[in-house]
Amino acid sequence: MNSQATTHTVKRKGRTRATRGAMLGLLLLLVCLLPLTTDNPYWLHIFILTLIYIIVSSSFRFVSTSGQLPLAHAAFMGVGAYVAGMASTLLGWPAWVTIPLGAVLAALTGALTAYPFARLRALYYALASLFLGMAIIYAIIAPRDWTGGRPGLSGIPALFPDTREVFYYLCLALTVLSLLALYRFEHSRIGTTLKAIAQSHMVAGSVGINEVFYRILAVGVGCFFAGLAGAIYAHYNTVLSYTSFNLMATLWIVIYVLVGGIGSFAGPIIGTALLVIVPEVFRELKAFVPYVSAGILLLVVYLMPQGLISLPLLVKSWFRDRADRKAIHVK
Amino acid sequence: MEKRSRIGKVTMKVGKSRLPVLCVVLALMIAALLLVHSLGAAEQKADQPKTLKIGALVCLTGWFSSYDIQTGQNEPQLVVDTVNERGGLNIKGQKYKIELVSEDCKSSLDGVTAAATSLASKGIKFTIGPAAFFGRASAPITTRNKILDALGYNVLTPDEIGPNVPYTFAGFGGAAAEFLSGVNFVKAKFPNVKKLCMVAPAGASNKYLLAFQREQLAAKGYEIVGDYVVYPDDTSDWSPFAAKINAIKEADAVMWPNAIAFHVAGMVKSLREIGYDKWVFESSNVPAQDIVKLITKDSARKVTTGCFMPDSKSNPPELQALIRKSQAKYGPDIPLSMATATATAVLLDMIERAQSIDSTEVKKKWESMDGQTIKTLFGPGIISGTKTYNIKGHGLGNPVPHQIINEKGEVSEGGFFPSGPIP
Amino acid sequence: MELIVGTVTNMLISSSMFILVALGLAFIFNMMGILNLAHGTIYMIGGYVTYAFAVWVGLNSWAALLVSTAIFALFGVFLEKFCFRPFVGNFDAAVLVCVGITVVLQNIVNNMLGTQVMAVPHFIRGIFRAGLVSVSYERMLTFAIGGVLTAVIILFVRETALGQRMQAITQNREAALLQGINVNRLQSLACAIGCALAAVAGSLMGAYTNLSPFMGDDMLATILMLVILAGAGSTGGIVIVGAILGSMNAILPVLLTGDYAQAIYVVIVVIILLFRPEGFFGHEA
Repeated sequence: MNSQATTHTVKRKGRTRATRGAMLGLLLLLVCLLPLTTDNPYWLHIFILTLIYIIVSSSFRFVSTSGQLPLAHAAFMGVGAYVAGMASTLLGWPAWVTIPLGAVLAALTGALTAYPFARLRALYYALASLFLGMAIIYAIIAPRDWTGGRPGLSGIPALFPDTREVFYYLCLALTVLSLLALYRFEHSRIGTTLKAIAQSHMVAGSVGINEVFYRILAVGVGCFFAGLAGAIYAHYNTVLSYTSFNLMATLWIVIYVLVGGIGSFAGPIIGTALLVIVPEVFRELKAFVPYVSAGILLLVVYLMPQGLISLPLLVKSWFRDRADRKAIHVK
Repeated sequence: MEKRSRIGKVTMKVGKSRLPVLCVVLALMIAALLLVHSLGAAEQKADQPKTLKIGALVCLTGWFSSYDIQTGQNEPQLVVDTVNERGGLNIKGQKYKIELVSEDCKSSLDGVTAAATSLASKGIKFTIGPAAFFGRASAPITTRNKILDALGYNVLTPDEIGPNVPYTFAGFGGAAAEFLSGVNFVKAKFPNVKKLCMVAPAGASNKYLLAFQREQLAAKGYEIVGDYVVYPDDTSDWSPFAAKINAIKEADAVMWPNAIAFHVAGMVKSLREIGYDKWVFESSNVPAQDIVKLITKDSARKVTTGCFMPDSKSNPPELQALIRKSQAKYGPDIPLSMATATATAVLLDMIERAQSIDSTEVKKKWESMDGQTIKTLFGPGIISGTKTYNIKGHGLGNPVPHQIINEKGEVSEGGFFPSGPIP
Repeated sequence: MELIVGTVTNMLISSSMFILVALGLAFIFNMMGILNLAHGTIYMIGGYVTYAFAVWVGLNSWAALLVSTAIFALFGVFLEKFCFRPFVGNFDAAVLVCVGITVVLQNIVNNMLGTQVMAVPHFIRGIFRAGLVSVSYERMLTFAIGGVLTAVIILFVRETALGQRMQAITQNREAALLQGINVNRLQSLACAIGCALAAVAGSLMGAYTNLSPFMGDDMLATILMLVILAGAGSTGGIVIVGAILGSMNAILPVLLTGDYAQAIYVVIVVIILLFRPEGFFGHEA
């Protein structure tokens, strides 16, 4: 089993574990130094948002390894955010309590609501979870006196409001830990079981895998991280509006993941980073910024349907095909 | 011989290669990126040495943009143009030209936060806007960065104006002033109305504002029948709410302190269609002519709004001048509100009074003028609001103009009614 | 009593419009397996195009409506060929394309026209009053047109040869291909009809309520529910489910305050889906 794992790694990337570790270390170093590259606090704000959304999209992808698209994901980010927000504004609890609380409650809500849907598949599950997400958001904004309703919840105490850099590093630490956790989950027996269920639920069932249990587990884990990200977001943004967690928000998370590439762990990270940062580069265009995002979307869907992660492979295959094409022309 | 590549669990067939197209498109994108950036850099170099940048938090996209592009950006720009034409601000002998820098708030609280953060990062020390209830999101950021914000509107929450956010001021009276003026107007023109059905958008239905309204109405002898009818700000189907209003039978009329044209048009149309024939008193700045144009005289009847008549004799001269300017620049059909424009004028006035471009100095000057009267676009305004906002000198009471659409759908002027000082 | 009458008329109008737009979505979904998330935006832009022809070009509202419908039928063909055909059966790609189209269209409208509140000029004026009933002729007309078009579409699908071929594609694509049915052309037709229906509904609603670049978003959520509850492959079922959802949508906000009504409404839909995920009338039911 171990030797298989190593060969699998070598086949995947053509590099040894050591090289990959070194590359990751370098990336981490760059990301740590990021706040020093600019003295413009607005960019730091964007980087923090990118980190938060990386947690959300990676956790979305984790749930999708079980074969289904959980289209309620942004709503669970909202659950975490609102729990943290309400606990700190109404109950006065400090952030180091409300953030884990938000994550845990989001996970519980996710798992509980996943149970009735655990036997639905494909499009039915996707749409049922889409409507579930809508229901959750409406349920959150309905009690206007507690949650602020449609205008939103404001006045959440901020963590490290005066030193954005400290918050950035906190966020980075949490993001790295979350990604590490998600990576470990995915490459553990749980992850393999989920992939088995994704490939063929009938075969998986025939070897005694309890599909319902594992899917609920996947959703629970995914929602834990979504809730965590939401709670961090609440304490960073100090205001929450339901438009950050509604249907369009979930669709955008799906898009971040798809643009990056749903097939790989790094896909959501790349997709999120691109789609959060690039429109901000064009912020000067003001009302025309949405076209940039739409442009990226359409670009990817027509030219790189597997996501940006497939770019190196596309390049390699183009060069490989050149030899064939030349041969054909000569004939 | 088929080529297949594995990425994770997905197999991709790499037959027809679209790589060249991809390269071209990416190259174009990078070129566009560089172009946009060089343009931005060029603009900076062309700056005059003594320019004072005023930020504008305005919703350029999203559901609120139908109101805010004109109100939160175009009209303030006219005020800025007027000030620049007469030479700019005179601070301690140095002339300052004003430059308005707008940031898109995207009609959501998160968008406002992002926009405020962006303005802060540009080193801007004074801003105007946002309008409606969006000030709640920008206030923490502007206060943290000591940016003095003259709100285009406020809905009385302590997150917008209050002791926690001492750098935000009401540049325009907001919900408090419009409401008080509206009540004074109704009392004067419709003395027989005693029982009211209250309507409010979700954005202007927080507990502070509603408590304020209830208290003031009770003090002036009005009775509220039934619950407030509250609707989401981005409603498209008005019939359920019209039905609810219609069901409140004992009310003499509808009082609707806050709305935008979009809301009034839809609701009044629905109301008239189901046969509800009572007066609707709307007291925030919705141009009555627009309502008539939108829903025609069949439905636009027996409505009052809190807006000015474009060519009225009672318009203060500065207001009339701005109206002319707007009609010249943007056309005669664009609805005007001049709310954030008022905030702009007040802010610039305060900066000149304080004789300083330091936001803390201007803040101190503004607060020190509590109880005093200043000139606003709508007439004399009183800096007040200590009890309502729990902080001295941050609120503003100003006169609000009113319009009447009578039974035949004809628009006439209701007059400017003062709000008095905000309690 | 007036409340009930008002509510019932509301319900009839909302249902007829939802059903019309949902039929369009169902066509596209049934034939190609693609959930057109841009359908709400097409509904919205249909209204704006009618406005443009009625107000800027000066046609009367009916002519403008016809022109708009024709334009969107053509747009449907374009959409099918370039945006849907490459991605048949690929849910992920469909999401990307549809959101891309939605963002582009919504922002074009918002950038060009968003500053003003507009409504499509009346198709017919006047208010009909009889006893307790007070309804504008426009509302009655909207309902009538919606009803007639729905009936025509359903008859088309059930009775005509063309419609039956479309049903065949819906039921089993490969078998239909084997039978020599020109799937591509019929897909185009389905998409054209779908977009045209959405445009008609948008224009009618644009006169009844006001136009807004975001009126499609709520509509999208509702028609998604409609299509899923009706079930894949069903057209007649949409009418029935549409009537039920339309009435719930009209009655609940009157009984409960705004957001609670929405919450309960969606929760009910979710619960129904739990028990009957394949819908009530689809061919998998």
